[in-house]
Amino acid sequence: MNSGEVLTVDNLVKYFPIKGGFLRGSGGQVRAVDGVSFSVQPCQVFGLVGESGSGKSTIGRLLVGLYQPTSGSITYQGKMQMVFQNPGSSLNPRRTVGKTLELPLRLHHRGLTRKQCRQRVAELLAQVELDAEYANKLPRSLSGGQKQRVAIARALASDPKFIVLDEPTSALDVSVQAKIIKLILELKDQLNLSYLLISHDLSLMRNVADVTAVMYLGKIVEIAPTAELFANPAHPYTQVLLASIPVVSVEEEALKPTKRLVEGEIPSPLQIPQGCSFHTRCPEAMELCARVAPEDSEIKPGHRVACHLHGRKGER
Amino acid sequence: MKIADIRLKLSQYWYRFSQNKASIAGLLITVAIVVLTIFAPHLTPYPEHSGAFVDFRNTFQPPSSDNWFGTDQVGRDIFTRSIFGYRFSLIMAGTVLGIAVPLGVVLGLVSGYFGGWLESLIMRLTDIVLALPPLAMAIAVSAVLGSDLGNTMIALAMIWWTWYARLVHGMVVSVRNEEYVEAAQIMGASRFHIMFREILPNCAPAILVKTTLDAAFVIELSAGLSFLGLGVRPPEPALGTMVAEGARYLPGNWWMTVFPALAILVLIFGLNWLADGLRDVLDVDL
Amino acid sequence: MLTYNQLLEIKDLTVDFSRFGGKARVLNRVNLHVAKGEKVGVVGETGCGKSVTMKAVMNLLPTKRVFVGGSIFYKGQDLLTLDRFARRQITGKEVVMIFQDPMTSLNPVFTIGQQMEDILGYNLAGAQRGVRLSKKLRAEARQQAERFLAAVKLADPERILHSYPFQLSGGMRQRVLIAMALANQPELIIADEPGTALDVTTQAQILDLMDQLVRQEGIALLMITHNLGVVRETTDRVYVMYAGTVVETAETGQLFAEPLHPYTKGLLDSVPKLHGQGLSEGIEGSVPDYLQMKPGCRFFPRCPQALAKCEYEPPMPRSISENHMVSCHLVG
Repeated sequence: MNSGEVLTVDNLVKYFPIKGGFLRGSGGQVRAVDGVSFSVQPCQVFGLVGESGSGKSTIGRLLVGLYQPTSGSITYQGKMQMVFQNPGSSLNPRRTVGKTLELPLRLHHRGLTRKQCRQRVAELLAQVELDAEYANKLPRSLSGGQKQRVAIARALASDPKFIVLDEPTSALDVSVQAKIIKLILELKDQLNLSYLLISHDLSLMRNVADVTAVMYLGKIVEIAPTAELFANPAHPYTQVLLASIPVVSVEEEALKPTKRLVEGEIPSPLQIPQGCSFHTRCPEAMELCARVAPEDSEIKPGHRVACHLHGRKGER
Repeated sequence: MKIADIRLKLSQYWYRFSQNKASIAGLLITVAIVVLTIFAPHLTPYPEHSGAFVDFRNTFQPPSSDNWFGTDQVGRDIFTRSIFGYRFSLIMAGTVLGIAVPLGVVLGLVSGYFGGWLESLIMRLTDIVLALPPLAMAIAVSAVLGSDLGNTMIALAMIWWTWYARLVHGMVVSVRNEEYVEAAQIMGASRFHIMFREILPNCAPAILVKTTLDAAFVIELSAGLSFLGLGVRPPEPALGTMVAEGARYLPGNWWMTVFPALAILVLIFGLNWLADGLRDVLDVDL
Repeated sequence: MLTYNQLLEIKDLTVDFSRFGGKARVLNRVNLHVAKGEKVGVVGETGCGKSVTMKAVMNLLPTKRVFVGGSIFYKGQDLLTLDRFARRQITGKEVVMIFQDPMTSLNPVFTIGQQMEDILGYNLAGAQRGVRLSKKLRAEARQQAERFLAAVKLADPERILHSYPFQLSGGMRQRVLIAMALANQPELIIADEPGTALDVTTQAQILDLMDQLVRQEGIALLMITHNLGVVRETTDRVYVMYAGTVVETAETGQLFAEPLHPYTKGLLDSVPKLHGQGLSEGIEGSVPDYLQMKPGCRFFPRCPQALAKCEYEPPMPRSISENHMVSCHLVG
């Protein structure tokens, strides 16, 4: 691992075995994450975008240790924490905000007096722009945005260097999303944090992530600095994703690739297609795509694609 | 939590609770009976009638202003004995549940959280025990171990914990994948903490409602047992015993059976209504 | 025969919920209309009342502690004055609703075929209560069901009829819901957040499908959503709701090109864009407490351009141009 990087993921694989049940056949596995490699620099926001079955949430959970990898390695310095998507369920409904925040504090700073604990809780709340009196409230008296702030405060309590944000704003109203994102970015600068931002919202990615990786059925199909990815999307799936975003202005409409509806739906992760996993729906699939899985190739510095249309030579 | 917050929360609960009139009735009945029972020696007209007492001049008196429920075959005031009879019922309920609930809850938590062979072992054990009918078991135990109150209560508790283990196990299984549990795991919280401080509080409402309902059930059972003459030594009053004894003098001296039976009924209704109210307020899926 | 202009006309609809602490005015004189064949969107954030409005139309509001005022005219008839049975003839038949989450809107213990048979058989039997369906009617219903499933572009309708909901993917379930809605041959479909629970590529397909079907059959569409992009791409006219009132309404193109109400502007500003730099600040503050409604404009505490009079005087809806109305003191 380079000395500069905060996190390096190398060929990470996670398969979930399927128990018998009503899925007949040999049992088999769900290949949730199928050989993913990337690295994150200090103070960087790394974006992971994809739809259901892409494996992006599984990667988040692998990083924080909720799952163990089937193979591959995760190398990181310091502490990792996570902020979950659904503020409604990420806070224990029967514990006050104060108690929820005290847990990580007590676990990481042994020997804190009650007074010190309360003080630290107040400081954490202040960092997420909430008054100290919120410590006595239960989650059900908080709005979605407030709950998410508490979740962020909880993640900060153990002084992490890296936070996994799993769809942090998807369950929030749009006017609240903007404020939470602003908070998250401010904290990054104040505390020198790095983030892994997992989302299905490409518009959000464009405005927040420094580097974006597009995932499909367990693999990264394209990765590039965000501006480059949006300016020159190389993989057909990336183009389809971009074309599907509903936008709010005519100017943005012009910036999207031409509208194309992809065929069918995402295959079940139990039956990932042979060859290139996207070939069954790809508008530009070739005969080769059904047989051979494409390898990563770097078409520009920092811009990698896994697609036969962009072969080794880097030319279409 | 601050006092003002607690007061607010209580008044919110009361608002919801009072939507259903039966729940209020249940609360009042239960509280009244418990208070009466605890302070029975001070609140009943003839406390000495609860022990060995005879007054052959006043046998078989119908209900009157002196004896609201009439008197029995040896002249004891039935009202007083009914109130004292509640003692037996409440002690049964309190002891049986006092043992069964903590035992069952802990076993349910442990089996639900750890899974694997421990879960299978505990759940299969509950399957076996749950297949036995409680009343028949209680009778069998009483008959074998003698009609000692203590033994009967312990025996019932040994059967009763299984309901709670089942209940809590189910809830733990559904809650253990919630994100707040995952969050606690990421932070490195101990398993004890997760089970007892994160998961258990979410099970507490359901446990409370079930305990209230079960109290009624145990009381019914204890009345059945005492009716059969098990678990109680005369002259200790027990409602079931009073019903059994009074039944011999039907239909003439109807008050000797009817009032104790009504007393059982009232307590059971009260507890059931209270449990319904609690369930509505605490928003439980039972 | 009543004559009418609009297919659906909601006039001064007001809904109060009686709660701990008093009465909460959840809807405050909402006015909304949908013409035959029109595609109308209702946008708003959590708590703005859009779902409550639709539930009022579909007669799905709770019966206890709820007070409804105003009128809901469908083809000239006020639905709120009808008895339950007469109401049932309209809502659920001519006016149908597609619910938000396809994962939970289908009954998990019946096959799709059984569920569709119920709907179609009921209609075929003349929509009378307590009618038993004969074998012949069931068979006919089954055939119709296949046709409707084909209409929503589901491959192999026969297999789908025999499947249970859990065996279908999210996109397929959503199509089934649409097919069920169509099976009633409605005049108006109310769609609650269609596609929100789905992947963005699947959502694009579903919205495209709904657009086609609605155009083909001349059905009116009333779409509720918080997703501004979806509204822009699929509707002809939009209503923007905030805290139980309609704050602005216009033709879609017009609204997005020239939003007038500060809330509308704030909302559009908050959406992350594909162009330009910098993120929005969002909108300050949060949704007001409906139990303690202040007299003036409901948006006043959060409005960056508030005037003094906004605090005391509620703004009346004003027409800016045909079809463009705003409730704001700054405008008009």
